[in-house]
Amino acid sequence: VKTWLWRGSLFAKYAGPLVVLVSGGLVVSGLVQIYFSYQENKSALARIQQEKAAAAAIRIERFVRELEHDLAWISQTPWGLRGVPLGERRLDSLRLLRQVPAITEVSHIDPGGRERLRVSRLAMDVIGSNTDLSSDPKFVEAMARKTYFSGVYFRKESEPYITIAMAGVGEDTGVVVAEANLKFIWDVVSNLKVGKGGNAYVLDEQGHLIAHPDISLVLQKTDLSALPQVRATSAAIDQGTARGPVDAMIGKDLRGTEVLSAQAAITPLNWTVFVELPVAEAFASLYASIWRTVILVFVGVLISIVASLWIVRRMVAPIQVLRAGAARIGAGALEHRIEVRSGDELQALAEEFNRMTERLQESYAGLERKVEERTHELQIASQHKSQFLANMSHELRTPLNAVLGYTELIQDQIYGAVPDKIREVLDRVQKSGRHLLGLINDVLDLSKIEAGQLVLSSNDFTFEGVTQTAAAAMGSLAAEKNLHLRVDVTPGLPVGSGDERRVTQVLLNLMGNAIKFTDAGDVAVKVTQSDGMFVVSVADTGPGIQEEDRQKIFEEFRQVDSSSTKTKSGTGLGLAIAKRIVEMHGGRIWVDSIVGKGSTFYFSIPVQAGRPGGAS
Amino acid sequence: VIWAISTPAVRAAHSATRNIPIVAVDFTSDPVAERYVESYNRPGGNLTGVFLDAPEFAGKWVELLKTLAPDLSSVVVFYDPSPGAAHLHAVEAAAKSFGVRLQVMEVRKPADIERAFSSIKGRSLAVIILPSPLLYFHSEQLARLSLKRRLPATSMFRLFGDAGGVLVYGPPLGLANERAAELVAKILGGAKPADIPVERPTKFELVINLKTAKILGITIPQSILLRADEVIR
Repeated sequence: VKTWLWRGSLFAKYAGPLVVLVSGGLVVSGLVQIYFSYQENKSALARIQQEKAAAAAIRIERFVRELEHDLAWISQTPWGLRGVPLGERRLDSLRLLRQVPAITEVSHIDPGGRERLRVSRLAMDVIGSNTDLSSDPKFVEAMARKTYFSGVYFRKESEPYITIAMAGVGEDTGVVVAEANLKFIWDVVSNLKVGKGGNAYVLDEQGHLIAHPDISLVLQKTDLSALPQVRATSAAIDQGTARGPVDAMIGKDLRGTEVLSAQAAITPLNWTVFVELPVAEAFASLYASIWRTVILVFVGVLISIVASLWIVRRMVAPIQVLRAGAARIGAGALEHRIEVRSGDELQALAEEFNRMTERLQESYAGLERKVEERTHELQIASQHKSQFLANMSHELRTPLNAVLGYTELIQDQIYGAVPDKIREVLDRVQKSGRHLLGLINDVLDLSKIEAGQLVLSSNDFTFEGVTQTAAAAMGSLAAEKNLHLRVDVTPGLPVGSGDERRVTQVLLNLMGNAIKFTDAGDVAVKVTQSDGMFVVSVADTGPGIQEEDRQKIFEEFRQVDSSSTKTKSGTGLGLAIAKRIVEMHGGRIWVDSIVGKGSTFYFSIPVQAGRPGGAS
Repeated sequence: VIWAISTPAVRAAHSATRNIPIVAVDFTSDPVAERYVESYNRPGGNLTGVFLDAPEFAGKWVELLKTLAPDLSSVVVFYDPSPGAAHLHAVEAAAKSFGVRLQVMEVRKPADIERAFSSIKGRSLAVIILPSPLLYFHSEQLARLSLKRRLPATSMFRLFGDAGGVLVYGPPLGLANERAAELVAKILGGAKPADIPVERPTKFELVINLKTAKILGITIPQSILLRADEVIR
């Protein structure tokens, strides 16, 4: 897994750019979407607020227009000769009060400016007070412009009222004045639903609150002219901008909360209706959609990362398998096959690889078989050679024995007296013949061993017997060279089992070598037992053997240096044969030597070498 | 919050505490004159509420009765002094302007009602019941006795009309209490009564009991029928 993460790996090379590309696309598209939806939402919200404000203005205007309309109807009643009696005017007024709860008082002024009738909800009706109102603005203005709206005034310093005066159009019509309680606009304003936390309110020209869902604020004559949206509106009016809608803007409410505020003018009265919605609420859906987009983009990025990693992993994993497989095959595991099941070019590549490996394995196997066959052939050839040598030795030995036998007969003067000169020659013949016989015997032995024809016999023997035989055979040789021959057999050695003749042959060979290579001193034979093995050592005081030669001497036809062969004679096969014999007994032969001081040859054989379970 | 309905209750609550918020419903007192509040729009103390504060309003009853019975010669006023004399003075002034005599019956305890009725003298009479808790709660008895004496009677409260009073004119107590309830809610929500403006009733209801009118043999004139908000048939 870790190899996927190194900087130079395919995984890092492709996963990184893929993730960046896909996620980058998602993030950019998300940002673009957020930007446009923010802009669109904002203008849509402003438009909605604007429409709400306009609708509110229309409703309030309709309220005022209805008052106007109701008054207009009464104001058409003429005075003078064709005039309507006061009693009927009073009934009309009572009807008006009944129809329009907002009006608390109606008074009738004749064309001369005298108040003739006043009908009230609270106070007693006054008939014919004749109060002179000819210079009162409500009379003057109404007569001049047909309709007059006073500014807002507060009764008992708390209730907002407005005076509406209307003059009739016909001849002899006077002015009808109504006092309207603006608390009734409250119904209109509080019924305006502006979201959850929003509201609508109405301000007069001075920025005083006329209507607000919280009536207390109205009754307190709250001044809102300092609010930013109110200032912006009055600034627009001052600059003579048409009293059309000022764009919806972010303002503040009385508590200082930021609100999205839109306003609309109520034309006949110079009032302004404001519709406000807390910014947090107004933009809540926008924020929600932004959050949604952010979350979607985030999820998209996550998915794209996972997908990219998955895709790259899918691509890299078979390559990894290929790499690991190639490495194993390269290391020699030719039986290994690469398993890639991706169903694409990579699988084809793996299959090619496998075919290649198969062919490699086949040719390798063929090569091994050939080597084996050739080796076998060589072994057979070698056996034939050994067989031939064995046969040859035998064939050589028979005539040689005849030569030696006849020579001995001549020496024994069977065929008559032999002069001294001829006797000497015969001695040499005898000596050379025996040497040749030894050689042939050795070659025969070795050939037999190599041909696998040497079979050990198994009989019980004691090393006392073996050493006695060997010492007897070697005693004269040692004596000839004035060497002291010592034999030391540890007492109480068990009876051994093995081929006594061959063990004796090994000991004779070692003793013969020791005597042959030692010019002065002694040759000591010692037999001990250790770990179920007889250990036999033959120590001499000869020249010793160089370290590097110590193994070579056990090989066939080797002597330490070829010069010694000439003086010391010998076939060079003795130690090789001895080694074979010891090994055939399941033992071991080795040498210790100090150059200039002498050598000690050891061999060990199992006590029960000849018994079943021992060495073959 | 103390919710005090009626003039005596408001007076008692106000004299009892200057800390506990009081929401008053009082159709008689002038809250500024009584020093309940500093001004209508900023009460400044622990009291706010709904005040009619229109003593001249009582004149409307005389006016209505006079319209109902143009030959009215004398008005019998049932007057409980506990809320104060503001309405009584208005009635006196109105009676004077109409040239109608006044018989004032002081009622201080329920037993006074029966006695008052037995002491009514004269003909072409009508009865005005001035607002007071005592009289309010005896609306039924007052209506019954008026009817027994075949006297047209009027009061401020709808209850009296339902009980058999021929005419009722005044701000509906129910609406005033609704507003008061909202003020209580505001105060419980953390607002201070000192900052809650005193409100005044905006709606005035004229109720006519035609059943009673029939019994009394009175024809309700058009000018009254015109403005009747409700007619009990």
